[in-house]
Amino acid sequence: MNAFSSLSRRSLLRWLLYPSALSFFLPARLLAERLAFSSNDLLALRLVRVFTSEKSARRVGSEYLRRAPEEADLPRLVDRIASTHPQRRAQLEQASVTELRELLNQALREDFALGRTIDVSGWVLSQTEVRLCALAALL
Amino acid sequence: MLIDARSVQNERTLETDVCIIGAGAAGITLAREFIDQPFRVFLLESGGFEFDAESQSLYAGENVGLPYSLVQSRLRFFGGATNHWVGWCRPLEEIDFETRPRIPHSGWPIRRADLQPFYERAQAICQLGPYEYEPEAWASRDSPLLQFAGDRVVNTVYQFSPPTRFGRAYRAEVLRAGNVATCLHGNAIEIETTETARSATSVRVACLSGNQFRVAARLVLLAAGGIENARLLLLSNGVQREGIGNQKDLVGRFFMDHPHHTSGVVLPSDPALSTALYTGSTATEKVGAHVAIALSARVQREEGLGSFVASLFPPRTWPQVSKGVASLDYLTSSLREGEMPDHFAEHLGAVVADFDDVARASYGRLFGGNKRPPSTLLSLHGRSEHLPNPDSRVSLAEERDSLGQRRVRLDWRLGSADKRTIRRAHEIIAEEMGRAGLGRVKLVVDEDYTLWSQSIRGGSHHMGTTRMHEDPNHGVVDADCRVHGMANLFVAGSSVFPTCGYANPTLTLVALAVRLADHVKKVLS
Repeated sequence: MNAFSSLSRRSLLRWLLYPSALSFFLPARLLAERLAFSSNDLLALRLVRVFTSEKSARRVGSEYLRRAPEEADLPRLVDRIASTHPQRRAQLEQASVTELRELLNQALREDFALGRTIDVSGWVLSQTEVRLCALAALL
Repeated sequence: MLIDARSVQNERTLETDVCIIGAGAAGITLAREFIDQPFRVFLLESGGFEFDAESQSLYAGENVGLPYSLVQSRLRFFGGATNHWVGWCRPLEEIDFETRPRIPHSGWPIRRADLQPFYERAQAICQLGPYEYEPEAWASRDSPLLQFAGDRVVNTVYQFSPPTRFGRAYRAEVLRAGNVATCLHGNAIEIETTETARSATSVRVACLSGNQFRVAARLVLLAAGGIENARLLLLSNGVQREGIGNQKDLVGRFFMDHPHHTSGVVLPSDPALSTALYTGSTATEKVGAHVAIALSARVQREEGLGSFVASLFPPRTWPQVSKGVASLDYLTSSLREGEMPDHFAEHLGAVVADFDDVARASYGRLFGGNKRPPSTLLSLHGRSEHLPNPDSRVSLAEERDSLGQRRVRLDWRLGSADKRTIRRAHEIIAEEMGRAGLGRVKLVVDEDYTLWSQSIRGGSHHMGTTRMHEDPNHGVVDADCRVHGMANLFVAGSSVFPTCGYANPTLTLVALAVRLADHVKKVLS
C-alpha cells in the first residue's frame, strides 16, 4: 500500500492538476503512468489543463451535467471529444500545450460550422468546449 | 399656395387634377415631383404645421393583437411620421422582391433592379450620402468589418438621414409652387367614385371645426400611411359596400411591422475587438452609417427563413425595459471588467472563464443594476422580416371618431414562421460568431418565446395593407400602384409592400413615390 492508496482515482487526478503539486513530484504524465491511469484519464488531464480558470470551467460543466446527466462519464466524454476527427485523439495526445489549444480551437470552429452546439443557460457553445468543461467538473 | 380647410365653405367642391391625400414622406415627395408640371395638385393634410392633440386623437383605435400603439407610432401633421423618424435607411435586398417558394404570399411584381434608379433619387430626397451600401466601402483600418468564416451571415450597411423632417425641409418649396395647393386641417373621410366604382371622382373632406367639402380630381393618390390608407379605402363604401379595392377582402390584411427585440448578448472574444462600425453611427466624413449583421440570401433560401438583421449595441441603448432586457442589463452589469481575459479566442480556458459570472447572473434574480457594464459586452438587437400573414390585419372598429368615422382596429400577429426565423437567425449568428472566433452569444429568445414575446415591439413601420400584386386576387394595387379595378386611384407608401425584408421602409417608400410620380406624369401627359 502506497501513500495514494486511500485517495480515490478522481481525487488523485484532480490533485495532479495543480502545478505546485506537479512541480514537487515527478512530471504528471510519468506519475500518472506509474499509477496506472487509463489513456482516457491521461488525456482528460491534458485537456483540462488548458483552462485558465478551472473554477469557471467546472461551473459551466456542472450546469451541463445537471441537464445531461448521461454525459457524466469521464471516458465517454474523452472519447467524444477525441472522436470528432479521425486523427484527433493522436493529435491531442501528442500536442504541446500551445498546439493543444490550437487543436481545440480548431475543434470549436468545426463544431460551430457544423452546428454542433449546445445551449447552456442560453449561451450557444460548441459541443467540444462544453464537454471540456464537463471534464473539469468531473475531475 | 396654402389653404386652411376650416375656412373652406361648407359643401363646396374644389377642383384639381391630382389630389394627394396625406403630407408625409410619400405625399410630400409626390407633391415635390409635381412642382411646375402642367397640372394642378391638391395636397391634403389632416393636421397643421405643428402637432395638435385633437387632430392626433383621430388616430386612436382598437388594438386586439400584439401590443401596439396606434397613436404614438404615427404623427398626424404636416410631414407625418418623418416628424419623429430616426432616419435609418437602406434599400431592400434583391431576395426581398423574389417569389420565395417556402415563404407564402412572397414576391413583388417588380424587381429590385426596377427600383434601382428611384432608390438613387430617393437617396438625395432623404438627404443621405452617396448611394453606397457595400459594407467594404464604409470600413477602414481603424473601423474594420467583422470577418465571418462562412457565408451564412453578412455585413450590411445602413445610412442615417439627418433625419429629414419632410414637413420642415420641403415646406417652403411646396408652398412656393404655383401649381400645388397645400390644404391643412382637412381630413379625407371618403373617396367617392362613379356609380360603377371604376373611377374615383372626388375626395370628401371633413374638418374638426364642422365644415365639409369635396375635392374633385382627375387622379387621386392615397398617401395617408400604412394604416390610414387601408382605413380610408374601407370607409369609402358609398358604392362598393366592402370598400374600394376590397372585392377580394384584401384591404387591410397582411399588415406587417418589423418585430424588434433585444434578444441576446454578445461576449466578444477580444475586449479590444473593434466594433465601432457596429455599435453606433460611425461618421465617415459627414455621412452617418451603421453596420449590422444579416442572414445571407443563401441561408434564407436553404432554410426557408425570412430575412433578419441584428445590431450590436452597448446595453441600455434601447429605452424599453422588459423582463428580457432587464435580464440582459443585470447580466451585463454583473460582469466585472477585470475578469475579462486578454486573448479570449486563443485560449480555450479563457473562453469559459467568463461564464463563471455569466452563469451566476443568469440564475440570479432580475434586477435593474446601475453599474456601467464593461465596454466590450454588447447586446444583440434583432429586427426581422414580418412574413406575410393575411390574419395580421387592419379593419374597422365599431367605435367612431369625432368626425363620425369608424375607428381602426389593429390585429398585429406573428406566426410560427416568424418565430422560427427569429430563433434560427439567432442560432446562426451565434454559431458564426463562434466559428469566426469573434465571441460567444447568449440568447434571450427562449424555445417557448416567453422572454421574446415580452421584449418584442414594432418599429412603427406600417406595411402591407394594400399589397402590390399583378393579380387582383392576391393584391390591392398593381405594379404601378394603381388600385385594381380603379382607373385613377393610386396608393403611395409602405402599405403597398407585399413583403418587407428587414430594411426600414422609408427609403423604399420614397423611391416608390418617385416612381409613381413619374407614372402619373406620363398618365397626365
